[in-house]
Amino acid sequence: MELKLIHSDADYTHIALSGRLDIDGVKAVEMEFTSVVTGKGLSTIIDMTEVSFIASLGMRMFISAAKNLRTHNKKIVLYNPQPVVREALETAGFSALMTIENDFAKAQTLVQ
Amino acid sequence: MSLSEFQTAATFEAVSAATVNLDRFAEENNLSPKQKYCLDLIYEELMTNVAKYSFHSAAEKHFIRVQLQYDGTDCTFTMSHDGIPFDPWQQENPALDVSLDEREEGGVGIFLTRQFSKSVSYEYKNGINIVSVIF
Repeated sequence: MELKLIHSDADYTHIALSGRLDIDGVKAVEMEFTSVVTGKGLSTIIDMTEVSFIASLGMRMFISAAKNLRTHNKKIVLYNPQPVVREALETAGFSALMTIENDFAKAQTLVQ
Repeated sequence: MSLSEFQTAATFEAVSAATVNLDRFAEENNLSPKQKYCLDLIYEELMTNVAKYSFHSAAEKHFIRVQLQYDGTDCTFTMSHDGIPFDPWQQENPALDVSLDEREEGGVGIFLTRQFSKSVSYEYKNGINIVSVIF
């Protein structure tokens, strides 16, 4: 599991995750994820293009970060998840918690 | 009918290390990407739940047995262990229609497993929990 910081300015943060958000994946990336996302305290685009698997541990990591950002009136936008990952997120009720967007320009608009 | 059996200690580390068995099973049976996703999800959610809650102490001394079957259409995942009697399918569904502020951070694992399955079952027999999922 890898996390890449793609963009960071005063408005928003853009990161990309790649790999599997399973037990090992979450363990590998959670500290850095929390540090980058909630440490900066800015709205964040999470590029999910290269995430092939997510289970409840990974979802917990996203919800925890989104709750933290919400206290600063900031948000998370999940960008371009693979269809089966999107299905898992939607089944877990993520549509009511954060935007899942396949159009990057729209994702950018949402965090600016 | 294809069959695979293995066992793992009831710890997160051992459960995670044993996923190599899932990869081999999926490859041997040419499972679809969706079916492999279901297999990985069901395995992770049910096994970590047992590792976390089913043993008062010394989880590393207890084993979880896993049996995987594939009949050419459906997969059956069966997990058995001698932990505290617990039927995961009796767990209440999480509240999903709530705002982010009200939303619990966890609690969706068993729900997700059920949603990605065709049928589920549980029995407690001779001191052993037997949890099965068809998908």
